Amino acid sequence: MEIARVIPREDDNYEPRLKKALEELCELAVTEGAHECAVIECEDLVFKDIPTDAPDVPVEERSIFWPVPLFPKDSIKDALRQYRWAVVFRLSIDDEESRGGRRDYDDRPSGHRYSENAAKERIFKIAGLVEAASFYKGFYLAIGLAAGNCKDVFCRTDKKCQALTVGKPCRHPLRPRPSIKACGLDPESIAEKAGWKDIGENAFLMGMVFID
Amino acid sequence: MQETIKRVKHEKNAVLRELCDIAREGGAEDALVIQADDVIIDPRVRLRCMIAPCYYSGVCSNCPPHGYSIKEVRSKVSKYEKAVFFKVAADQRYISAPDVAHCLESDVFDDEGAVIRVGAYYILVYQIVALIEQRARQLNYDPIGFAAGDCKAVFCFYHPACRAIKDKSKCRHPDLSRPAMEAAGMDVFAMAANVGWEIYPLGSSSRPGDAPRASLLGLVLVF
Repeated sequence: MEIARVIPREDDNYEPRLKKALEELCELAVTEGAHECAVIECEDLVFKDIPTDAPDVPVEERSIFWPVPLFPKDSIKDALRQYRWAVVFRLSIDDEESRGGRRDYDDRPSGHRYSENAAKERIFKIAGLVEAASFYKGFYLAIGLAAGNCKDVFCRTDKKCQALTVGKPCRHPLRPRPSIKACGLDPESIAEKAGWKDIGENAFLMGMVFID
Repeated sequence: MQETIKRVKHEKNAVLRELCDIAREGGAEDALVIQADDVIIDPRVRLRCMIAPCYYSGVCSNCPPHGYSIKEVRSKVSKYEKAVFFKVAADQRYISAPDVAHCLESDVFDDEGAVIRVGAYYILVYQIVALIEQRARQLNYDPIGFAAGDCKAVFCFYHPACRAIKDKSKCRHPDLSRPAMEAAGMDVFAMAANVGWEIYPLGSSSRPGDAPRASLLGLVLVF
């Protein structure tokens, strides 16, 4: 793997390098199973207020990222507002498979629909891969968001999210992440920005990676 | 009056040169004086520590979600004018060794000793920060230092828990433990690139040879 040298933002090569990276990252998302991918500008993303807690959610369903990301000292919104570009990707869900409750995490080629559970796992994987690829291309501030509760994907058989205990680490470092919604973003408006106007016609899950 | 101002400025510049020398004599490959205004504080850097959570996220009192908030760091940095920024050269073969990530995740040492070697580089950064701070205090300044990585992995690897998470006063190594620059929201990569240092983002998936060099960086705000 070639790791890119970090260059100053004022460098003449910075923007061309970023543009090329955005295209490559989109291709990567599709190669890894996304049905569609788009690059969006982040300038006018709409953020809703993130609640500080959701008391009705029982502890066995909670994680450090669900239902509310636990980041008490700083504002997630303020951080995400710094980004200019993001890569958004989606996976279509097969309603029949979802109703059947199949749990699949297979390597079906792009184009096939996933069951909802398989789609969630794949979203987390793609977000992680695109985020990592961005990091090694020199866009080290990339942050990926997924869909749903990371505990359902990584710690479904564990009683409690380990990272919720003060002083304990996450069981699966570098893999879990909050959902787009949990960070106060509206997936529908993001999908619209991505040019996906068929919202509601087919079920799909979305992930996104803020790049720069 | 003008003469006094000139003299004070001359003395301060001499202090900064001395502190840079201390960094180099302590093992830094290079050390520079930068303006405190050139310290880049970006909330995304701290958020990046949590998303996705690194091996020591939540485990160390100096790392997110603990440690200084962005607001606190901005407030602290704003009180300073000059800082010593230094880099320690690390052998990229060890930083990128395939077992290092696995060992950090599982809190064990590898048979080849890569984790120990990596730890030694990080300890050097903390020591240089401590040396610079010590000398600055002797000269009646009130410095504040920032290191690299997380201090629990460096100083308390054998201990099951960081004592300072619930009570800062219980830190086992208060003379050495410091927040990492990145844990404080400082964009270390951009700061290094801006001063012309060659720097590469190495991570858990990097392997020996993927980058020509590795560096660890530290910062001490002096006055």
